[in-house]
Amino acid sequence: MLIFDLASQHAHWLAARQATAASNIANVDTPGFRAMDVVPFEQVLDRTGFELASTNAAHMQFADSRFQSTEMERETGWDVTYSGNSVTLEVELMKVGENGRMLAFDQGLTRMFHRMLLASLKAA
Amino acid sequence: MIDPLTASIRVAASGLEAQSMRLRVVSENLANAESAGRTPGADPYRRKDVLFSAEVDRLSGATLVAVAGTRNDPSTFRLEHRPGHPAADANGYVKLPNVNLIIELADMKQANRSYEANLQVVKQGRDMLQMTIDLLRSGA
Repeated sequence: MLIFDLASQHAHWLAARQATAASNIANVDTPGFRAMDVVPFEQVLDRTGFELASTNAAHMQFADSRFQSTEMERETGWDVTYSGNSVTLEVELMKVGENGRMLAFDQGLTRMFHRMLLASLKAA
Repeated sequence: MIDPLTASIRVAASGLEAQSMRLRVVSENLANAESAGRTPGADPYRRKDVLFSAEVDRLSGATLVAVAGTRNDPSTFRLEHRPGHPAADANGYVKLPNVNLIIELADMKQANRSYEANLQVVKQGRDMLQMTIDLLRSGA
């Protein structure tokens, strides 16, 4: 069920991206705050398969470390204000809207594949 | 560890709180724009400024915004010649607050804009959660 795994991973990534954009927007007036962004999804996909296996609940969890926010490159924002804040409200709001659209797209696909799966089960 | 969508709503809520605190301070400044002292030569109301700081939320690991406190604006007071005023000094000059209406209105506009942006994040986060719940519902 690669498609479901992929969709759920992408949804995870989108949620992390949404939380990062929320932090940026909340700190739009904080002096010296640098805008953050998550690593692109392609890079997240490339690195899958190198996780630590955990066989006990007490083991360290690294599952979410792939979605850690990292500092954004300077050129992605539009400007840096005099107070050293590099958040651009427009860019962040664009990201927020994009996250919603992409999640809707993901879930449309998931729903469609789920229906196909059910249809094949019924036919059998 | 809470899920990132709930965390994003928490973060936006901290932004809403910080911006409303800022609006409160702006309204205090505006309301006291003419509050002079009562005794001769006394200092009038001093304009206040809000200080924001980024703060890591221990529960979710996300970066919230917090109001670190207010700061008194050290700029000089306005002087006006009003000999009959109770706060007038020996030369008849009264010290009036260092509040500039234009600056306060611009600050208010900025707080409004940031508040709206945070509100938009709350709406979007809620919609995304709702979409996911709908997916579960239709999948069953």
